[in-house]
Amino acid sequence: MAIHAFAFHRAPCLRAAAIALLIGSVQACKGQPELLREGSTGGIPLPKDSTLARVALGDIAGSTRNTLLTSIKNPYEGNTGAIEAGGELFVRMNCVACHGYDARGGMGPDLTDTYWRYGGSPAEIYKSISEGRPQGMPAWGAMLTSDELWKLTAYVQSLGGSFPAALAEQGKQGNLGATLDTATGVLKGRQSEP
Amino acid sequence: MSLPYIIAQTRLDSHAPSYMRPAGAPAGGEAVLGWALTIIAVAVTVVIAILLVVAVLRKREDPDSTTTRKASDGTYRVRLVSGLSWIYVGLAITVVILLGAFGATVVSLAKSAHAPSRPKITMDIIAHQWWWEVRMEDSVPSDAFVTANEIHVPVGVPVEIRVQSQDVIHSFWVPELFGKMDVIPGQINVTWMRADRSGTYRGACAEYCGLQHAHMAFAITAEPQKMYDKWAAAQRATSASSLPPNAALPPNVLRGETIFVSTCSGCHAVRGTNALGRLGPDLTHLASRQTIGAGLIDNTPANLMRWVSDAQAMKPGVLMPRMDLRHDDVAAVVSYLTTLH
Amino acid sequence: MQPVDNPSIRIAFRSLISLVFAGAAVTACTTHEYPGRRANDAGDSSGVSAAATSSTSTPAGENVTGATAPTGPGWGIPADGDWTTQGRDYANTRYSPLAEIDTSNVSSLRIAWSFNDGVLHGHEGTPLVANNTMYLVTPFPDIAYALDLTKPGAPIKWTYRPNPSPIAIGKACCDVVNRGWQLADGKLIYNLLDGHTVAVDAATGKELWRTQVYDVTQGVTMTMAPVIVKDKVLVGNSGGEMGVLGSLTALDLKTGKIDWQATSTGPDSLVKIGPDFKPFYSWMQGKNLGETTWPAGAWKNGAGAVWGWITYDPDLNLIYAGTSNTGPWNAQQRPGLNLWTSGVFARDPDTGMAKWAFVFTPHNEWDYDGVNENILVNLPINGKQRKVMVQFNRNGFAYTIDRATGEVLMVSPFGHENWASGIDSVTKMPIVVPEKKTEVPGHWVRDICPADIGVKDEQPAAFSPRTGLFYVPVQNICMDYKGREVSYIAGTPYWGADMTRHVGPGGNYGEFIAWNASTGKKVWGIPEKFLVYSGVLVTGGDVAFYGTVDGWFRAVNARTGKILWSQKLGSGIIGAPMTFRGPDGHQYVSVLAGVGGAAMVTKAMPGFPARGGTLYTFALDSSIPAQGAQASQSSASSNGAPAKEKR
Repeated sequence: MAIHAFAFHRAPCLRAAAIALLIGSVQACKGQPELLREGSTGGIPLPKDSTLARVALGDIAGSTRNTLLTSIKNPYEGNTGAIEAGGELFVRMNCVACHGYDARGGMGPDLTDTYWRYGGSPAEIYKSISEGRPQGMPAWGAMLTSDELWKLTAYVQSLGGSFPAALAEQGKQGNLGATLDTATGVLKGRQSEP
Repeated sequence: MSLPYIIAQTRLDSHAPSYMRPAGAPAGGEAVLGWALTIIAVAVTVVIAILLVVAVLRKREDPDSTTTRKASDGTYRVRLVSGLSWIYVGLAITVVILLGAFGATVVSLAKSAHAPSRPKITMDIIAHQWWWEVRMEDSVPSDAFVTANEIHVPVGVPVEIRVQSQDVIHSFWVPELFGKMDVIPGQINVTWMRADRSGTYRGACAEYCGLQHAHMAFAITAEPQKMYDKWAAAQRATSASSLPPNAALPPNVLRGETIFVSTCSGCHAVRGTNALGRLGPDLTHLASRQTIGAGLIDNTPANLMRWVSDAQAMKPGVLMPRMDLRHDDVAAVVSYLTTLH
Repeated sequence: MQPVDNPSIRIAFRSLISLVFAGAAVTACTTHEYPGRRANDAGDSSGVSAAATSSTSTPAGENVTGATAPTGPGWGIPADGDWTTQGRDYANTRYSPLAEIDTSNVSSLRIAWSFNDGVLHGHEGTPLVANNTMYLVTPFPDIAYALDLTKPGAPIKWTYRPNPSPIAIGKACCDVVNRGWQLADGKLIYNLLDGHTVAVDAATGKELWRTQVYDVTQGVTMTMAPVIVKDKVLVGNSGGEMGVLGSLTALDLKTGKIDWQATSTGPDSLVKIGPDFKPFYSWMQGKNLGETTWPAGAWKNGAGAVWGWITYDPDLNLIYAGTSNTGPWNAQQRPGLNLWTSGVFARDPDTGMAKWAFVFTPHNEWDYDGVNENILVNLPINGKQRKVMVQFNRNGFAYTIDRATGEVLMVSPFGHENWASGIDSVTKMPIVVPEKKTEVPGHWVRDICPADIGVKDEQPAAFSPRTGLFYVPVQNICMDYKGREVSYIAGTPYWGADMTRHVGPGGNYGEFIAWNASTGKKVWGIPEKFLVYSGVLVTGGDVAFYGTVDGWFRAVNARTGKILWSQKLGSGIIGAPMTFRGPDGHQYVSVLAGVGGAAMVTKAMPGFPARGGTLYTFALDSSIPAQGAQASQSSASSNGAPAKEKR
């Protein structure tokens, strides 16, 4: 190992070749979830901030249904690399201190249940993290890139309480919350603390 | 497809560091040992080679010839010529040399294991993927300071180095000053060094630790005590004391500071401001460093612009994401960073 | 050596070895560094029944310790039938001389009336009574109610809704509690969670002044009970987990303007340390220790929040206020003694200048705050009467400190702890057990006792000048702890610790004990399955009242520890009970029931109660008018006719 390192430093062309090989192999594996490290984006297109700005926090006045919400999917949904990166961000950005290391709540609400005060579809979760919320949830939009925010959203989605974009309307009408937890007899989805 | 980042030589790469050309202890003692063993080995090889050649080329004597001698009592004595004496002599010489070399090795390694005198300076190195966090300890806690990747030490003063890792196994190695010390998560390993000559000595991570293992350099600059004291005092200062009061700063720098504190403070710290992040290198005195990215590129405004915009392009896989900043915002941040002396 | 073949010799040999080891084990277990442990062991392991284990009892009328409560006009003691400040007096004895309810009749206590305040968070405060009016403040949103005690059922006289900022909800570490309100100068004064202090006219409920003291968007909240000393309102911040700069602030009583502010960390000028500052121990003497015992600049986020109880000695003119744990919890990031967190300051209330300080847990690695109440008593030590303060600290040690000089006169553990093997007799610094240090990066440190919430948290103890004993709610809870490096991001927690908690030895989370501060020993104890997170009331009838987290409100003989009466309330009890004399001349006992606060760490226990928000008022059965008479009176008074004479 020592000799290799020695040679590495002495021979720039050797070094360049080896690194090119590494980078080439990374590029070749682009799109495979395992290589989506925390810093890298893999070139996946993300929903535009301008689109997200039009997502409403509540229901829309009038008779039109809100189709915008159902069309915005999290490109990192189910991507194990992104979920892992999001989980690391969840720890490093102090989310665990308010929401718990198990995300079951503490100072902040439980993120594993199906009760969402501000909506549980991917775009609504993204906006809650990015914009902050009135009861003390900080706004992370300035400090985290949209890529990091979508990875965090993917992590929250992986906890099981959120619902996918296609069911956003159902979620707003409360049809996704009321399932009985037969172990405790408590309605799953009812927030445990007021 | 072009290579997505720059392979560049930085100011640190003026010469390749070699452990056979030491500039201090314990590398010095180890290098002496290295040279000595090398010389002995070479000498032995040369001697044996000569003897081999001589033996091959030398004319063999007639097997029937003997050397006869007439003794004083009139009898004739026959002396056989044999090479056994050569073996006795050779064995004796090699045993002496072997024992001597063994003794020298043991003594030399024992000497280099500990500093000869109590180190006055303690340096805590925390290895991350892929940069080095440095904490220079002090008996008064508030005089301790944090920096990254490049440090100074006074010439001739032993320094204790305690290494630990935040993630995977690394290895801390500055060839001209001391041998490799593995950095293992969950434990603290201790080594030491003393620079005997002024100069800048480049080090590297010597245990494969991930994608950018090759770009995890370190630099130790040894300088006279007085210059070191000045450097340490400057590093201890918070950024507020090095910058003029806010009103005197150009608006671009102020804007850069605002953007820095709102956007970069989750990971980076600049003591004296509200930026107190610990995930990335401490940037309080970024402008005093020669390189950025742990020895990847020289610390110039142009390189800073490239790094802040898209560190991923230059050092793929690094923890710093590709920032969503506009070009003029990046320029403002860089203009602020260049004031951090 | 030949192996021993003879079986009998083999058996004999092995028995001998076992005896030697057993003897060594017994010796090790019974050798201690401080007195009193053996007596405590007997009490601790007594199982989870609600019966008291009384090894001794206090004969009627006798003060067994010689400890007395300070008395005199300056001590803020209200009229016998009133209760105007959280601690009842400046010494915080929480003792009332009322004796209509005593050990012989307390078993007939029943509910006279109740009041639901409409808020379902932790209720950690104590109702106040003055001028036949009861005052209480809810947890967030900090609504104040005045109840008219002259009318049956104590109807609402006025309501004051301050509308604090909801951002505070997400910044409060340990539920959105309000730990107390005070009456002074015709005003009801209390803190809002979002960093404001308000003064409300006690007669009308109109806001008189409202001052923003701290910035909630930076993660600072306020939960503590203000203390009014002369013309100053003393308030302190919360946020030990949020990396705040802890401080104590004095506001002007009449106008609410900020008069002075003293921080808990930083240079002497900010901490208000001057030439008159004389800490007793040498390791606390020096310039700017609040700055130099930290990495550069780290003191600004070092916490030391002043969120606990404040007591006051009018003769010495000193206030005693403790400082919280150190920020961040992850101690590896802050080498140094980290002064002045996890300690207590004695300050001049007029100027804020510190007179002395003592730090209980320097370089705190376990969240053992120093904010618990410092009860002021006069205690004979070595034959001499000393003016002392007694604090039952989070770290498990009961400190008796000379309140004039800061000298630690006595210190001994009052519950189960294993993080320190003792207290150094010279420096009074804890001797930390190396295995319980949490500074190892990324490693789980197992079974540290007590857990972060300590052997006693903020729930206040009481002192009876009749028995000379302290009545202390004790916790028996341990933790596994893993530290990690944490960044300070303003408005988010500055923590760096992953934790799980479990019950301590014996299986009972709580215990209610009587403590002799002269000898440093427990007199009797009542183990409880759930935490005892309520404060304590002790009365002239020699009855001590306390409540459990599962909602049992109990009355206990203060001398023997025998439980005389228990009533299950609607939710867990985490505030302190109080007692007052009603307009009818009878004695009433009131307590708030509404679980929350730090007691929520045990919420996974089977049978853990639901949230609540109800005030219960009890009286002797003979004091409460019959049902029919009460109903007719209330309808008569609502018609405007005067209330009929009670039968």
